[in-house]
Amino acid sequence: MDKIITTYKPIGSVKVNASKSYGHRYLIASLLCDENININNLPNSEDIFATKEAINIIKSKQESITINVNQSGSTLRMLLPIACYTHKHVKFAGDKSIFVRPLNVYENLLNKQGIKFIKNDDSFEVFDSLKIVDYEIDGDVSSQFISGLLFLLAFAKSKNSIKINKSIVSNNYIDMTLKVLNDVGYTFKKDHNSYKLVDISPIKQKSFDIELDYSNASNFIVLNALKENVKVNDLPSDSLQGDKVILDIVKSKKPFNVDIVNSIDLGPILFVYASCLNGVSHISGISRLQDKESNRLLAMTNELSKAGVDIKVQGDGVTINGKSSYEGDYVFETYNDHRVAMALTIFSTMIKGRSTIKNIECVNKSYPNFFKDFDNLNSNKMTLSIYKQSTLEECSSLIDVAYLNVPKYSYVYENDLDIDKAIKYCLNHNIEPILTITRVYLENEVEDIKSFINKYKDYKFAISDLGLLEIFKESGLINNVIYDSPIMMCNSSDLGLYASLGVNAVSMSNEIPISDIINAYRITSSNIFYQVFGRKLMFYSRRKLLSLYKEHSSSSFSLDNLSLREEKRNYEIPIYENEYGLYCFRHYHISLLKEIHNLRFIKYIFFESLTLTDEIIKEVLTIYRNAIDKQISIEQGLESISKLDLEIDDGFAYSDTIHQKEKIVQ
Amino acid sequence: MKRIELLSPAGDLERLKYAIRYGADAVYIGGKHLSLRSMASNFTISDIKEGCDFAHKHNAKVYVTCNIVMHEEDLNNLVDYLKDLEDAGVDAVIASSPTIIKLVKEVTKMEAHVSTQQSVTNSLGVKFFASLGADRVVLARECSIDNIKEIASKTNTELEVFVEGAMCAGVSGRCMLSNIMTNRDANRGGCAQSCRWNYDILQNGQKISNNSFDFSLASADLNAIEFIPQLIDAGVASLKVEGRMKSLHYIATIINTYRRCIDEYYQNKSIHDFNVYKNNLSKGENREVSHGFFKGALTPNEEIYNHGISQPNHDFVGIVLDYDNNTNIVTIEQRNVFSGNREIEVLSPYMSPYKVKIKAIYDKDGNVIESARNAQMIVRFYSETPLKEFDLIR
Repeated sequence: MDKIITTYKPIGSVKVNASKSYGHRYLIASLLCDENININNLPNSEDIFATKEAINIIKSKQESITINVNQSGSTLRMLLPIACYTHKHVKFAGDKSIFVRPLNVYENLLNKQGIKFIKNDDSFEVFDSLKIVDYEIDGDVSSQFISGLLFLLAFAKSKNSIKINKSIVSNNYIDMTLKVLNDVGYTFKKDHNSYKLVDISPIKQKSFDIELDYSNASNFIVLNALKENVKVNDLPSDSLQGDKVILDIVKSKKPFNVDIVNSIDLGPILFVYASCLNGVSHISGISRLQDKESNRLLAMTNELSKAGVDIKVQGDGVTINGKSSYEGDYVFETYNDHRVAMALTIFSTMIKGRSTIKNIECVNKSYPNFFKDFDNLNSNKMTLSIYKQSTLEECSSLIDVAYLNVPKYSYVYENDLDIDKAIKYCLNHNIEPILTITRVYLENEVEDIKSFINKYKDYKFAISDLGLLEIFKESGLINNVIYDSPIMMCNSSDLGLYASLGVNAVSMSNEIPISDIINAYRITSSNIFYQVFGRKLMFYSRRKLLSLYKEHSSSSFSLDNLSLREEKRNYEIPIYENEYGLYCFRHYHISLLKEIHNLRFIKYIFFESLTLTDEIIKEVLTIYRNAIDKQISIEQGLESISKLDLEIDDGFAYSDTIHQKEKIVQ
Repeated sequence: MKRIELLSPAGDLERLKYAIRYGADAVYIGGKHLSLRSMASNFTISDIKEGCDFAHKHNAKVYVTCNIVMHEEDLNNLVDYLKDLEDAGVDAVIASSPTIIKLVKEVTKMEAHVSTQQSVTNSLGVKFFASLGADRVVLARECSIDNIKEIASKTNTELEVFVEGAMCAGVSGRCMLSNIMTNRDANRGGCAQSCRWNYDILQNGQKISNNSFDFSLASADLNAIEFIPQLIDAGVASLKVEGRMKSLHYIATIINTYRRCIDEYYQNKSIHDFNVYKNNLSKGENREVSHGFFKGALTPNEEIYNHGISQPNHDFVGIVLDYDNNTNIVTIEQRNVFSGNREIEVLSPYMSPYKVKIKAIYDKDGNVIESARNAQMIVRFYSETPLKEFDLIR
């Protein structure tokens, strides 16, 4: 799948997944514990899954085992010693990219002990048990070898040592291993260049929270440095993770010189960051970038060069002469490398034009939710209610999100929208579809709506029947839900509560002042869905009152183009009836253009197209889009809106309703 | 199984006490805050306490409605108010806001009931609110009897069902007619009942509705007494009567009737004749009634009513204060103009209404009077049939 990025205006907060490095280590540490330990918030990534599976296989008593490490180098390098110590014959299988990366430390070790092994391009097979001895290795290799051997010594409760020649790279990863070992009761001491197990004590805690991952967070930390308004939540301040250094690098928001030997995973995103800062940055210690999931040095220089980044590699360093903005339409390859894909995504937000990120599935390796979190940060997504295909096609270049009114399930109006066709059109035109099923469902309708939801479970839904949340809770897809019952949502506390259930966004009422909406966001930082233009439903009844009236009064009018008028009021209320009941709308269209710059934090700004022609909607969207992008002033926008010859009102934007008895004038 | 609860509205302490005397197992009332009936004379905390003391003495419960859709300003002092209600002895809070539902469970020992304003129409909705901690869900009035039975069979949470009184024509809580047309906030107790106004129907701007037959968005009132056996058998926890703004006479009449109907069903496992009960209810009802959605969709004659509000045809004239067994003298407090030498109907708790013929009526000083014209004046008359304190006369 590819990802298309056009305009992107982030605002809000993001919580990245837990550290994969710690995840692997706590899983391996569980092998050293007599009792089961709970590892909370294990990151949901393919690599972690590989380690989890491998642990289960190692626990089995068979003499010969096969472990599929898939694409996880960490699994292979950190588990090989224990696996080969506990089993007579171990075959590691996996993706080819894994076995072209160095394994020489273990190869030397096996050679020294006279153990036969066979290395193929997609497997590594060992034919005898590894023996515990004093190990001696060079420090300029991947720290994962050292971690693997530390786990082995702890597992064997051995007093043997690991001696490191030459200085160690990625020292912090070894510290992370030692911390995890210490957490489960194994204390190592470093004496000169040797590590030795000095104490084994009973485990103190049985449940471990894994800290959030700085490597993944670095993408959003850089995004914030470049575009502001992004908060990365819950990162541990006292972490041993080497990539924490990203916080120091972005502090000055100026070009930088940095050595990334101890934070090699920051490479791709730092290339991007340097490219987007006005001036010359220098990154050194980059040679190991070539041994990662892809040749990251090659990948990043290739792709950044496409957009004309001034980038020069010299020896172990790279010099980038960056600028704050790029222009053009580009297609970026991702080399099946998650960090390359994430970094280029951040780069794309700085390009005026249309960027395509190819094959984005590769982020599953470490951060399957990356694009979901990335999309979630985007704000002021222009969202249009769609009742017919023509509106969608006419407005496709002006909207980010299509609020597709599903016939039979949406709140109002019969329509013949072909949902599958509309979804397909959306996906082909970089529009996010939301399936709108905002009716309230009777018990006998539940099975029907349930199967509809399950059929389309990959997409977002707008709902107003809270019972439906139970269906989404069950499938774990509650984050796909926009709770869209705006009349009921008038304060920060209820907003925060619904948001805390994990829904994607919550609709706020148009019957409260805008100042209350702003306040509710300040208090909760929740994702808000908010109507800024168009008709508002003001009455919905399951009773078919018009048909009943017709029958009762023996009238014969058709139900098209009807409105109601009350004696003392000089306006007409649009009224409509279908088989699910009766609907009345406000007599005017709301338009909150005047406030649009104050509504920067609104995730989905919603336009109701009901009773408007495609031409008018297009004009409205163009005016709003230009105003948001500051291509025109608010005054110019208001003037254009007034020329549309619609009845426009700001509703309750500036005045609250009255409710207390003493205030009501009879 | 627990016996079904008969839940009565009460607009003030007097009505609360009458509701309980006439057989309500629980009453719901509005406090000074967060209540949807700002026009009903709402209870102060000390009134609530007195009401709870009275109710508990009579083995009844008191629920307080906190069912507005809160705006930001309404969040102030929420916890204090809920604790005040708890201290006053309130058994449950009826709320639509998830904030209030959660707070009630977190900071007090009261029950939390989900208001019908949340329009719960399916078992998933019941489960959702149960997951927030709700002890009971008041179902939306759009549910048919079959829906109610199915929801009851699929959930373990207590269910409450409206059986009598006025209904929102729109889906409760989702109507903005009053807000838009009068600026009075229906979801915060200011409902102007714009749905009951008369409207012209226009097509392309031209009036097409019938001059002799006005259109309104309102619906007939609900009367679901004939569904009581099915509701009891389905395991519904509570039968609710609407009407916190309704009169004492209305409450006594409706509660008396439902009480006897429920008791007859528990005693005989069947109802001999619903018409007797329906006839009694009609003496309190002041609008045309229908079964609402109990049987599914409505036919025109069931739904559309003649919009003139018809007054109850039995004038409620007084409350019995005392009966002297030695002299057979009844002392009453006048509630409507009334004269002697006529037949009166007596409404007494747990009994069918019965008729008594009276002769002359006297003022408190023993003077014969032609009619009792002054509000709340004391009136006496002779009756061999012994009346009881708190009986109503009409």
